[in-house]
Amino acid sequence: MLDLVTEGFARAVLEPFSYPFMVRGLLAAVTVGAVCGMVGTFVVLRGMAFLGDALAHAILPGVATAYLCGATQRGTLFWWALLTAVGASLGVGAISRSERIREDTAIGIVFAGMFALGIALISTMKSYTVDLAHVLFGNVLQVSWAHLRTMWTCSGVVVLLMVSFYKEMVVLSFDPVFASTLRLPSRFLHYLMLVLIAVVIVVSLQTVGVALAVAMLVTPAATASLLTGRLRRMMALAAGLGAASGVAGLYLSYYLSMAPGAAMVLVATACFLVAFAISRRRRIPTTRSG
Amino acid sequence: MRFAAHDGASAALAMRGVSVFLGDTPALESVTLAVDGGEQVAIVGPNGAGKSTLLRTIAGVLHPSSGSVLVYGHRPPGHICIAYLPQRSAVDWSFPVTARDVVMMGRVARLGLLRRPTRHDRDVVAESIETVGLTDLADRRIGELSGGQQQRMFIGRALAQEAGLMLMDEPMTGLDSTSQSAILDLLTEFRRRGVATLVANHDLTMSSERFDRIVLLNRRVIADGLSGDVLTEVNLLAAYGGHVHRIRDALEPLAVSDSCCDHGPEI
Repeated sequence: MLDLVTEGFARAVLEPFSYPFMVRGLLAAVTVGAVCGMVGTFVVLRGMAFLGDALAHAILPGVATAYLCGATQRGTLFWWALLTAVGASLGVGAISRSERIREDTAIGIVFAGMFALGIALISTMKSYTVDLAHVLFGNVLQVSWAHLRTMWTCSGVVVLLMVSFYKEMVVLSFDPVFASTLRLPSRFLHYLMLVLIAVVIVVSLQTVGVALAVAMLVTPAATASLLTGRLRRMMALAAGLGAASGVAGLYLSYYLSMAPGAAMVLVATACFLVAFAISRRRRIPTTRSG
Repeated sequence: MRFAAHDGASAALAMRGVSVFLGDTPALESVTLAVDGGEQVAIVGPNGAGKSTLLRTIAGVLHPSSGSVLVYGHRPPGHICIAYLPQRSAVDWSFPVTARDVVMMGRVARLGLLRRPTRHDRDVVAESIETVGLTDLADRRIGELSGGQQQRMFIGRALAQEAGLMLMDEPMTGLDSTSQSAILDLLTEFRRRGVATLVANHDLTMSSERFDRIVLLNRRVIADGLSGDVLTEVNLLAAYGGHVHRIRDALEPLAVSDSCCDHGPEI
């Protein structure tokens, strides 16, 4: 009896991966979850969630232009998206230094505009709804090996840069004034952070899409921030939670035939709610005076 | 090291005719100020007098529209030895780091890019933590420390930074008297090391009892010198305007606080 249960369970766990596209999907989900969790830690600490969401949406016109130019290859789309995202992140950096308009207002205006431009461009195509859905919500089950290799290369570069500039980024995030008295290259680091976020969003484009990219970036990191008070642990935990949400989401989508991107984000959100409930009970006092 | 060497003959701080604008509003007007190594100066003045602006300008974070700031003979951006201690209310205390992590931040500029802390850096950090009396609490999260411990942690960071000029923005705000005197005691450590210290402070009594000099500021330097010469009725009227009656009444028994600083941090 027990053998039967174990066997049934093992089959349920392994069965999805008898399909090669599920294996590739799994690898993509784990990659995206892990690297989003790492970068997302800084996004959460620096309160850049809105900016991350805006960046993700700003990629749309780049992808649309690529479509219009007849780029049907996923690889080509990837580079178009990357170009747009990096351009947009540098644009954000410039806007945030302007004193004439509040930063969040400026970001809202520019990126809603870019998103509209993207939709307008895509809507001129015949296969409008299908293409738009792919960009908006991703399609992890169509990831190719070539695409996976690109994802790994980009993720590798992101992780390498994060490790290299880790201590400077921590100082800048914690105490920007102190960072500038230490004559750290604050502006360079700020732009670097924006570019890293952009790259990570593009990497996650195929998996969760433009509309949900910010969730993979912010939710696992926010969950981790509730569970630990140490930065390194928080990053590791966020990466682990992101990867686990990706895998669990993929199973959900297989057995309940849900959209995989949405399923991953739902798992991540559920983890957050559980952590929120737990941490409310044993709340760590944030400040004491005296 | 690409940062400026200290010119032994120069004052720790020499400001000449410094004016600073925040947006279109003048925040400081032709401020001239000199401070020697080891000297401890209290900056007093009403809210919005430009105390924070003054400290940030000396730190090289804000840039004067006219005039010159020289720290040990060089302009502030050439230095990594200027320690700036933020107002406690300006710090994100939920940030996931320990007291030791924050003190280690003082070493970051000396380490340089792509370098990890060496044994020497860790020793300097441990010594700094010991000097400020936080050895037992070093691995606590910063949010779990009391206000006085948090302020001592930042002083530890300045020690680890091997600062030559200390700028402290309202370090006593919200602290009980025990914590305040612990911090004042630590300041003598800076005097021993020849570090010039400027402290923005709204407690006039403490400023006159515990500091070498008082600078009375309200956008311009109204008076600068020994407390008896600075805290006169004329000067206080010039600095505090309509609030002077309250200040003067309070000064009689010499138990003064200007009671104007409960509105949160100055910009």
